[in-house]
Amino acid sequence: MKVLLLSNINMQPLVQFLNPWDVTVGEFNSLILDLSNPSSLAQSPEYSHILCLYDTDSLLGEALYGEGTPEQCEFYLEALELFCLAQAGKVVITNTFCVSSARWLNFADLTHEASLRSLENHLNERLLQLTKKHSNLIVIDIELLFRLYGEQALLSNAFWYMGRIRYSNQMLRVLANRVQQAVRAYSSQCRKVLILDLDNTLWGGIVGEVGPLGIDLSNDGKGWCFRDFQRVLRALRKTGVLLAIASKNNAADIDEVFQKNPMMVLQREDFACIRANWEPKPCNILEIAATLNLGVNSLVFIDDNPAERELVVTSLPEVAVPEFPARVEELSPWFLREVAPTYFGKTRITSEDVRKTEQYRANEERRQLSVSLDLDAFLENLRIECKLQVDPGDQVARIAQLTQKTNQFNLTTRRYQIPEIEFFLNSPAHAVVLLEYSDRFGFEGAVGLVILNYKECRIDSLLMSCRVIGRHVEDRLLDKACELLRSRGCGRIVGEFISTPKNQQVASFYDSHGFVVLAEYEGRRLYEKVMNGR
Amino acid sequence: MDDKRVLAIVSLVAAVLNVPETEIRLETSADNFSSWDSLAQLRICMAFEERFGVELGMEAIAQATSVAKLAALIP
Repeated sequence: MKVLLLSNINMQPLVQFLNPWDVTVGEFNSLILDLSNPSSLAQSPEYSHILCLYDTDSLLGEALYGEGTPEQCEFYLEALELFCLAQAGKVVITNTFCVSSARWLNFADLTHEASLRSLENHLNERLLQLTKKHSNLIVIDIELLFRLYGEQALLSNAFWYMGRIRYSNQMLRVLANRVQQAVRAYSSQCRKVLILDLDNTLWGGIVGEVGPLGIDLSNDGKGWCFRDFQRVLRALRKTGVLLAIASKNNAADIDEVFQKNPMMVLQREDFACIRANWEPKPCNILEIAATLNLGVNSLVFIDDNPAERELVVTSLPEVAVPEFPARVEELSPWFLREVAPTYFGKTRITSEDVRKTEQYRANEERRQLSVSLDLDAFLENLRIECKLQVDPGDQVARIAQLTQKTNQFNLTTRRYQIPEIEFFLNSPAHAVVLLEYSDRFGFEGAVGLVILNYKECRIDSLLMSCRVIGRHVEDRLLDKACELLRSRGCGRIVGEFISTPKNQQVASFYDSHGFVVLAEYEGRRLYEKVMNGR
Repeated sequence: MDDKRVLAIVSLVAAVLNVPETEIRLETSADNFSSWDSLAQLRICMAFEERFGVELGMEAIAQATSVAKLAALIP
């Protein structure tokens, strides 16, 4: 994107702070002229974003000292409106009118007919009307920067009188940051979900130790800090941000807090997704992303525990993990000042935004019916990699061990000793396929196994360690088995299920993979699948 | 003159003027370096304030137009 910076003061020094944007600075004091002149740079299709960052004191001219009328301000508003209309495809960013605090009327400024305060309010009212009419106009409330950092730190008198540079280094930095945040917010590059820890994040103390009524959440002191933080989050939810919980706690304890603690501002319905268990947080975060059907890069994670933050940063680098304030009284101001504009910036709130959590909750209920949808997203996020080895002679011991130890996901539960496995490995009439599993969390090793009998076109054994159950890994094993059998000329494949007290979860495995029952006797079922093509 | 101070100013001026540090010497000034114009002078002084955490007055900004004079202003 190419940016044109227009002003009525020397804004050249702002450019370096707008890195990495490609910024061109207009002629000195060309603000109104460039907006109105049909052959100016501002009209060139080359520039997608026009920054109109003006100094109000200068725009007021003599009116700043009670002489004449602020006609330049009027001209600016007119030029801005016409430009927004004519160049509806460009994004226009400007600031509010903000007169410096040094005012000639001092105390009387509020009551005098030439009141600068009234003039400022009036001009801003007109500017806000423009913003409501023109969706391509973004207005930065520059007064908030002066309030936050102080006018004396942000204005530079020496550089002003030397070279019409109004702003100090600090102002240039915070203004550039604010402008970039607003443009990101405008182009909806903001994140969508805020995932929260509970203990010492949403309330003080550890609920598992002090109970649902013992946590620090009240209308005084420390408990008040947390209660206010919950109010902030409730408000954030109304701007379209989804709230979620990833907490190491017993789910029942959390239920109790919601049911029994009257100091909770946030209720269960305020959360689009709640994961309270003892799984690693990155796992829960991935599940939340999958449940909400959103990418990991739309998540922000807040946790007071630096170890948990570190774990998420290293295992899920796309998740934004802001530092947590050192003092609990900073929680709400920190969040509103740093986190919200950085990650959840919005230039406009729609009615959609307000209802977003409800929509996701409804979706979630719908999706419960077709669980596979969530699972697919979850699996995609896991970035599973399977390595299939045929007859890996160096893994005899592990293969034998798998046949002996695997109980649940085991179609035939045939236990083999090492010599038998060696026989299968070396026999041309048999094949052993070993599956090694890894994902973004690490390498799980050899977890799946198939033993094939080529002569009988039969799958003798098919098993998988319970560590990777539910991740569709079995499909890859079965696909490989079918591929090998077909390559040996099998037009049909025979599968078996031998029922045991522990393997009922795979009782219909072959049924759901396109096999039909050939025969059934004494807890054994024989299946067959006819291969398509040759 | 303290070498460390001069080196700090040399790298600061070179960065603002966007030239290699080898082109800037103790004697370099607005009078003998063409791209060191009045806007560059302001940007050098802003960078100076940023780097050394001091605020320069208008007179200092007007007069400190050489590497040597800037180095003398380092607190």
